[in-house]
Amino acid sequence: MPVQIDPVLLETLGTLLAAVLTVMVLSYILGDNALFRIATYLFVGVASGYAAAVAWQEVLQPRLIAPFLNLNTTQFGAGPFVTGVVVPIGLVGLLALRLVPGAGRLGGLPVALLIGVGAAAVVGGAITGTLVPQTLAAMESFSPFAIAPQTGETGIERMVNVLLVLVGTVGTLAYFGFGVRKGEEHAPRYGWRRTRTPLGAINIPWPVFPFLGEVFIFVAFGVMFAGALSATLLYLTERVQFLASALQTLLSGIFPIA
Amino acid sequence: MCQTENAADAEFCRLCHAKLPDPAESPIPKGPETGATGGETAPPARGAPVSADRGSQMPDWLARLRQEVTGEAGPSETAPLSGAGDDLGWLGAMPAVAGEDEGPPPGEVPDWLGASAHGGTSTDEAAPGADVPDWLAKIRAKARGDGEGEPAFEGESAAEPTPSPTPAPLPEPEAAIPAEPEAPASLGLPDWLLAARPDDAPTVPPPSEPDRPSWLMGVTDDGSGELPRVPALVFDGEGAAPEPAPDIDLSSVSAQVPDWIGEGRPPELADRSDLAPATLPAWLEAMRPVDTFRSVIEIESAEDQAVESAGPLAGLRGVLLAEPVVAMLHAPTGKAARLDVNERQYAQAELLHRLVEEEKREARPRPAAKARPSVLRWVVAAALLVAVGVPGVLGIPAMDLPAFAPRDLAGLVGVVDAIPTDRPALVVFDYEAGATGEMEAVAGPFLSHLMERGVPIATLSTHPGGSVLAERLMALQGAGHNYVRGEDFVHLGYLPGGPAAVQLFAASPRQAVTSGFLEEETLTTIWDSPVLAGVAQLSDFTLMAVITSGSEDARVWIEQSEAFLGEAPLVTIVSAGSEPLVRPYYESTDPKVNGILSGLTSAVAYEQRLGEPGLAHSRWSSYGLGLLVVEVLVALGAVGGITTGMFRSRRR
Repeated sequence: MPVQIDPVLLETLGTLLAAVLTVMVLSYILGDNALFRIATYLFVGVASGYAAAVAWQEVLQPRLIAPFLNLNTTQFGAGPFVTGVVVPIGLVGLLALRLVPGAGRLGGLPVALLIGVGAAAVVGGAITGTLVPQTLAAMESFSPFAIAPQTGETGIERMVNVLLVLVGTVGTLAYFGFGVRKGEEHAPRYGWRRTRTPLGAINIPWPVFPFLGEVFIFVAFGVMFAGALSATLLYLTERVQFLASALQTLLSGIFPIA
Repeated sequence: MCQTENAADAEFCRLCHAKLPDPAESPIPKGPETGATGGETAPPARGAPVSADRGSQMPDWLARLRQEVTGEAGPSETAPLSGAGDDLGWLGAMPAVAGEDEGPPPGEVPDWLGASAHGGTSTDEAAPGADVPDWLAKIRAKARGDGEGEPAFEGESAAEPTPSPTPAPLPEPEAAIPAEPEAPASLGLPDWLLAARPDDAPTVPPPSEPDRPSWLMGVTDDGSGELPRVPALVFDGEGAAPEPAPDIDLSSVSAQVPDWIGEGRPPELADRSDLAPATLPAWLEAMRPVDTFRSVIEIESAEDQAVESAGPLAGLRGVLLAEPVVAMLHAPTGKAARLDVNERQYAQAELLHRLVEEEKREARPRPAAKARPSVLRWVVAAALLVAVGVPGVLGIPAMDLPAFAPRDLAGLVGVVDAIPTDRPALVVFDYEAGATGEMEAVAGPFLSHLMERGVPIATLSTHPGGSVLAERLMALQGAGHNYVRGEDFVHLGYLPGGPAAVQLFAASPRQAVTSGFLEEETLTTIWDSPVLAGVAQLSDFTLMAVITSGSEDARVWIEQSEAFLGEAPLVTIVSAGSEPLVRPYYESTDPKVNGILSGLTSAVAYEQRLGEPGLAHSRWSSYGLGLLVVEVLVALGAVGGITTGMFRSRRR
């Protein structure tokens, strides 16, 4: 007979446990300590256990065990039986052979199949979904009359934006050009050349595109760092507000306001 | 002296490089060729004078011996040595070699010996027989052919105290070893040597005059045909123990005597103050083994000396070992290896020894030193906690809401407003539990907008924990819109397999997902849910939204599903950190993403637009104040870094 637990009590205990674990994690502010380690180990263990339970509950049991147990004679030889039962079980058996000394090479078949199919899916999607579209995006028209489909930019604003995308793309590709001349393996990607201009002699980077690519990479990393910092600050805000709410709930339970 | 025959005018021996006596000044003794017994090294007559001039070139006893043998008087007999008459008497008292006690029998004296004796100057005329030891007199008599003589050794002669030429300790006589009773004419020679002795003495004629080399032509020849040689001095161990030598003035012969003889000088002569002390260089002094230096040579007694057991010297005692002493096993003497090191060398040796010892030991992991958190770390943490906590708890200060909505928001709102509501929208929850603080606040208004429009929702996740997070957010947002699980939204659950599974789901959703999360027990499959009615492929969804905290998941869904979406729009709700990597899919000429929502600012604006303040509004003030503190800290850190760099550059 299942034990009936008051949902309110269960919610309260869960909130209290979450608050304690939050404080234990935040104790890392004082330095590495046992409370922080206990909390992190607990999170890792719970996450792994939950993933295993989900894998059994939603993958292994319904897709491997249940079809095998619910077999009837009419399904033998049918296509779904072969592809849904025989082949998966056979691949699992081969994968288990990796644990057997001397038969580990047979276990490479399902691994090769897994990696090959995954790589094919990723590469195909990357070419059709990212590489070609982004390449075309760097070759947009400089016409001031063109209008961006999503943002509605047009005129000078769009021209500047298109120019920035073009320069940034070429510069980044130039920065990651790993071809070097013989004898210049350790030479920097670009140097500084003193050039006469109407305003006087100034040092300009040469070749210029690797330098521009480096600048664009710095800016992109800076934006990503700012976004990560913003997200982290939101995590902290949510946890602090949760602690305040939990404390308020506990205090109101202990000292009910008449 | 090695008995090597040298040229008459040679000053040094060609083999042992010993200095040879000058043949012009010291006539070559014309005695018979000596053997190992040294029979010709008879003791000189007692009281024989010793030349002072010759004393600088040869020992006195040798000069007297030469005089005794050759009959040649010394050039000057000015200073008879004190006690000289007894100085070499011990030679006569030396133990007789086996068979020498009676001398060779008459008629057995070899001709070559007699010829040698006759060829030279007669010695019996120069020295009276009373002054010659008996054994030598006997030999002389035999050489003359009379064959009569008395026994060479008498008992009293063996017991007679004999002086020693050196004060150094001499080997004890082998009195315990009995002499061979009969060994006629052996003269102490081993049998093998006697057997090899030539029967006729001068079998080899002396070299004729024309055969002599030109450099030898001027050498004075005494007519004997013998090359100048130096007789060997051999001490036989038999006989009585030699008494300590009387005082002999060795100063005159110090140039020729070895050092061990020179040590026997009287102290008053050795410690002459007028001689400058010898000084050694520092490096040579450091190399000198002080402790192992022995000033006195200890000679083993005859009993302790080993008897050669093999080889041509078999039976002899005290012969040099064929095997070098250094090659023999022996106990190392520690004192001999002691080095004179200074403090620095000793310290370096200790350091090397310690390094070697440490290498031998097993390296033990040292506990990592705990880094003390700096005060600055505590200050930053306190500032952030106060900035984030105070507005959330007290409600003050309240940060102003954004006055302008992001430009992307209008496009997203337009997409959501344009979708039909008769088909479900697919919402992918691809973020971990740690990102709920941001993703729930950002995705909340989007889901609220869908619910406001009454769009059925089907959730899916490629993360094992995604379904739980989906249920949590749907329950939170659905509470305000009366959304019920199973009627208004369902969870398709976990989609394992990564990009390949995403592609499979995009191609055939019903085949990729067979069971849902928290599905009704009455349902045979999740696709029997009324929420998913009419959905057979991906394009049947009215909208597809990807809520993710990472750019990788967004990219996978964009790439794999773009070909199967058809007219259904794709929107992404992403974290602020991954927005720069997702935005190119949105702003391109051929956009793959039809709407994008990122950051709390957009979420607050979304809620403002919907008129439903939610999680984004509740966190806006804390987020705003915290962001302000972060900006100030970043600015202070930059200023501090620049200032520190400038100070360091100035110091350099």
